Amino acid sequence: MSKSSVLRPNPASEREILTQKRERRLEPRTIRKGIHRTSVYVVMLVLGLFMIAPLVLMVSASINPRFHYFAFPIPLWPRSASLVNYGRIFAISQTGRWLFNSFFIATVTIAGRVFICGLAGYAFAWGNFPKRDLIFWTLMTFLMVPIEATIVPMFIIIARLGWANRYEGLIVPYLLYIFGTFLMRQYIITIPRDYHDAARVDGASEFTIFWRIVFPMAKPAVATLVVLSFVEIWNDFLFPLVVTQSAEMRPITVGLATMVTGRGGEAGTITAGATLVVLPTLLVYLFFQRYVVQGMAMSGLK
Amino acid sequence: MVARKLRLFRKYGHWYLFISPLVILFLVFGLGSFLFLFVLSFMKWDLLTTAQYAGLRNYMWLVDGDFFQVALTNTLLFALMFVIPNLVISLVLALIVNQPVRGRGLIRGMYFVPVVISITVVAIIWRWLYSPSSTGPLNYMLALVGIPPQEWIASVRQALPSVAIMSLWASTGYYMLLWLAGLQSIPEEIIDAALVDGATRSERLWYVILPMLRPTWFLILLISTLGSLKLFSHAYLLTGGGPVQATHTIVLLMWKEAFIHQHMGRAAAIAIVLLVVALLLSWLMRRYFELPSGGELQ
Repeated sequence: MSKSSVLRPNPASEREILTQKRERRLEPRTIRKGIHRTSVYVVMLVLGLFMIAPLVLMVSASINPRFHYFAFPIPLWPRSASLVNYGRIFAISQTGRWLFNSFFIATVTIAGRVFICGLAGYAFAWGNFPKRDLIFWTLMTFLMVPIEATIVPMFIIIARLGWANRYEGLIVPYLLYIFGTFLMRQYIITIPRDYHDAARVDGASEFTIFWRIVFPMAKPAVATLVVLSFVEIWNDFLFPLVVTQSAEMRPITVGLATMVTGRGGEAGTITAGATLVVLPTLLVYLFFQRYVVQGMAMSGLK
Repeated sequence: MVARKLRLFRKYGHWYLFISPLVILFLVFGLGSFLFLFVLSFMKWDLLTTAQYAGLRNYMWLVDGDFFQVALTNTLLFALMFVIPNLVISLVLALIVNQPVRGRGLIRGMYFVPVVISITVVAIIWRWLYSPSSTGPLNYMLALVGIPPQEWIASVRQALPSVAIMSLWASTGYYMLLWLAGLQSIPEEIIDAALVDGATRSERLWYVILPMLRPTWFLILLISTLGSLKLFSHAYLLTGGGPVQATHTIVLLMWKEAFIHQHMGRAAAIAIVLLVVALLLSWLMRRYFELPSGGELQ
């Protein structure tokens, strides 16, 4: 089953046009078709609104300075709309620092992942060294081990390395990205080997071949890796919760959560913080929808 | 011998160099934590004093104490409340956005949005939606159709279903995606053949499409059941495990044992149970659905 087919704009259309033609000839069906189509639209939109409504409520609460949890319905566009809540979240919490942490961790991790998974994927795709397949499939087997199961010993290892509550501890374990290696390998293996052999004849080293030829050609796989990693790391909760202890080391997801589970905080301020957390992943999703969807469908990990 | 080794290294060394960063990370954090987990589950250790051998005492604690049984029951109940509704709802969503109408791409995008939202934010929103007063958004909407206000996460009985409803909202879009991939892999000829034979819409779905999508069923059941067993963040952020122990899940219990009570051994024993159940489930489903191994994920 090809996962990439999800992305084709309209794969079912030919079939459906065929269906429509056939059904138009059968008279009473034409009317039923129209009713069907309208009901499809209505159901689609109602469900779509249901999926989006909580987010819309969140955004409208965040620009409402008088918002509190015990008033509903609230105006979608409050008359006194302002960004006061956004100023306040930065004033009463370390949100600035938390956002920086999240961006910093994500950026460094992604750069490292691209390099490490790219090199390993290249070796597993085109290398012909002893025990290659054994090593590869051993790694792949570990895709089935959930992080929740190994988080406790992993924390102890991180602490023993002296990395607890430090950026190293928040970044280095993320660099082990087996799915990313798989992704890179599967893509590189489809690139014709002639490129490799030709460059080899010209005297290029394996690293040069990787860096100058394979890497630029594997851009779609790299893009998927980058986008998927960003969403994953930005949204991650359990791992940074375990590794960080002090407020200033937390990524935004954990930091904001401490404000909620702690002593309340103001409702409008919290929703402003929540909107800030959502914004980057939502933008990434809007602009790179194809890669997000493709990567998630492939990874089968959620 | 040495010369041969050297020659082998010169021939293949760079490949090993290329995979070495990944392999080192794997040995430390992957295989390392995996093996350490087993050792840890037979130890009594608070990370401050020296570790002691505890034999099977950590496992006995699981069997004898109430905590684990409550957590396991909650987790399985949650799985029941999540897996089946999710299977149906995500299928319905996929069938709807697979209809050949204009704008379905946009709608599909809308259904998928909750999937990319941080769980922290999801919980913040839903804590508000679940406000138990009559001005809570969900209670307000229930009042419109004449249903009295509910207590949601404030009530022992409704807390777990409330977590399940939030989880459904947050991840059904992802499973819809898997259904769509399956739906679009069905060859057109087969649908056309059914059409020629005069099969109605529901007959096509029930007798042609769904039987053909067995691998998709399998995948969705497997992933969503595993996801239910691993439930942590949703419960931690929405209810903190409460009220009382109503939403205590096995991973939440593990987290508390490890990082609140410093019982590393007990936490490891819980993790082992999770691991065994997860692998067993994966194997059972694979057998039941008679699938070629690993076919789906590749």
